[in-house]
Amino acid sequence: MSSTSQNIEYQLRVLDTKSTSFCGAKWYNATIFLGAGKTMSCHHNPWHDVAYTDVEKNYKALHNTDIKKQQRQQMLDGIRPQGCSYCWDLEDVGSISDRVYKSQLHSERDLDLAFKSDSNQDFDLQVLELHFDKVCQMACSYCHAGYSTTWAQDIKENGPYEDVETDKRLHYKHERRTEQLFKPDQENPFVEAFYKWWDKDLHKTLKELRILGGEPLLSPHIWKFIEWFKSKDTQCSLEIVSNLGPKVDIDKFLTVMSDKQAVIMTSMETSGHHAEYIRDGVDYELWCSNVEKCLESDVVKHVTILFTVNALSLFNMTELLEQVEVWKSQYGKERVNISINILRYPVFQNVTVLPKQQRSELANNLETWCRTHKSTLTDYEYEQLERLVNYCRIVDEPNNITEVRKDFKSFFAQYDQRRNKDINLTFPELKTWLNQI
Amino acid sequence: MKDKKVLVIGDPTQETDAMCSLLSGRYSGRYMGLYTKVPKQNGFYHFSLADVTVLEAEELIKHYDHLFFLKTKKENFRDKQVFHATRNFLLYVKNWKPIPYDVFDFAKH
Repeated sequence: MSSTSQNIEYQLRVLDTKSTSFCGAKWYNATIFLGAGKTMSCHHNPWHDVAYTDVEKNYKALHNTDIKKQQRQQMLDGIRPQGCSYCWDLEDVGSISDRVYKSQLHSERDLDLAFKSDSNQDFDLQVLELHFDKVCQMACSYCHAGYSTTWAQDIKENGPYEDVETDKRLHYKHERRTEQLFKPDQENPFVEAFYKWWDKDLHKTLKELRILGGEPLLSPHIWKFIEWFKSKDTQCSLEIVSNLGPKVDIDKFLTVMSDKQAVIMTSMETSGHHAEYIRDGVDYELWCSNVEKCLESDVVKHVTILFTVNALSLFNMTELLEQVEVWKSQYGKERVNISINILRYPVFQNVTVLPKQQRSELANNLETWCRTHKSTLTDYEYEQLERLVNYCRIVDEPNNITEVRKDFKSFFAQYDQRRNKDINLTFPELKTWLNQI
Repeated sequence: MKDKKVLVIGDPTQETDAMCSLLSGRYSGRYMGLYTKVPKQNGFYHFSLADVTVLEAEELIKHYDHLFFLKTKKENFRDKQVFHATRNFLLYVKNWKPIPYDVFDFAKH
């Protein structure tokens, strides 16, 4: 049975027999922003506030919020929670969604327990993505001030981006200062709650703890956290999501971890100048060298490269895939892998902004590459790339495509001016199309 | 506070409007009522985080001279997320002090 068939079988047997909207992540998986006092079930969901007063009384309220409990009930009733539309969109075009992959991280017994539970019950986490703060030295085009202090600085110095009408989430309008509730040296009840929960339950239940930022290796909390993690007896795997960009002291990290192991996850979705254009602040060569340092160290179990696939990343994506292939042959197939995520917001940076013909050609190129290099990819990697190829081909343009394209042009004109870049020079293949918008 | 722009943040009920009126009288200001845009005239305005998003509130408070947070009951919030957002917004103002503020407990007045 192929991996795809196995996933379909799993979805039908384990998930859909409970309900066609059931997802284990709503019970056992969370992303928590300790600096902002917010949470969401997985990174595809919108976040919502956690009440610090609730957390002071019950540290499990960091994850078990009123909103999540309502959504759990919806899933038990077979209703699709609105915030989970990433998965519903994929399922509606016949693809396997992350609902399947994320549920597979938990045992069938635990999923049954969740299904039979009262939706008001508190659950201990098994997979946690934790953000201490948003300190970041970079300001990628699709990121915003809620995740990056450098982005906040751009808005503070240059003001909001104008004429970007589809920016409904106001990614480019605000410094988003309210997403950092505490000063770096202040006591934070959300951080306290996390440490309490860890000491009581999480060190036993957590399978994966992923630390994100901003850039976590630049966070004032990180070194204290690593010392604290090292002192605990746990089977939990530690994953650090680092951009491995300038100012990140990867040597210090590898030394400090000493006898403990960690997984490094790092974002990159294309190569060279294209990467440096999209991921403002990155030095592609330095990034490659930092990935290699990680792969050469025994501290790093493996490196996962997170592709946030956006309209501009498709042109040179296969070059990065080829670099990954080289690393796989040099350091071992299991030591470096890829994870493909399709950027949905801001909508004008989603791949559907591109002309359909161009999108289709890029999908064909990617498909050809995948078929030629299938033996170097794991089944999961191949499946994800196949899913991306289908997405590029099948997904319809949004109804307001004219407005979306205007926003693409308007945003990148301002981005170029503020960041000293030139989209026409970096992506000459877009020049004619851009002039027509 | 006669010559100042003052914002009262409370729950999405008539009580917030009533308290805004009461506070304007107490501090000799002009009662302006519910307002979710940038204020032009001095006076006492109010809104709740059911009327604007937290990001809008973050921008709007920059245009005021003083803030009053009304200490209200969780039960007054039909949407508990609005309550949580209001509490966290207060935390932001308390910690970063973007403008002067007071917490007003009308149960004591």
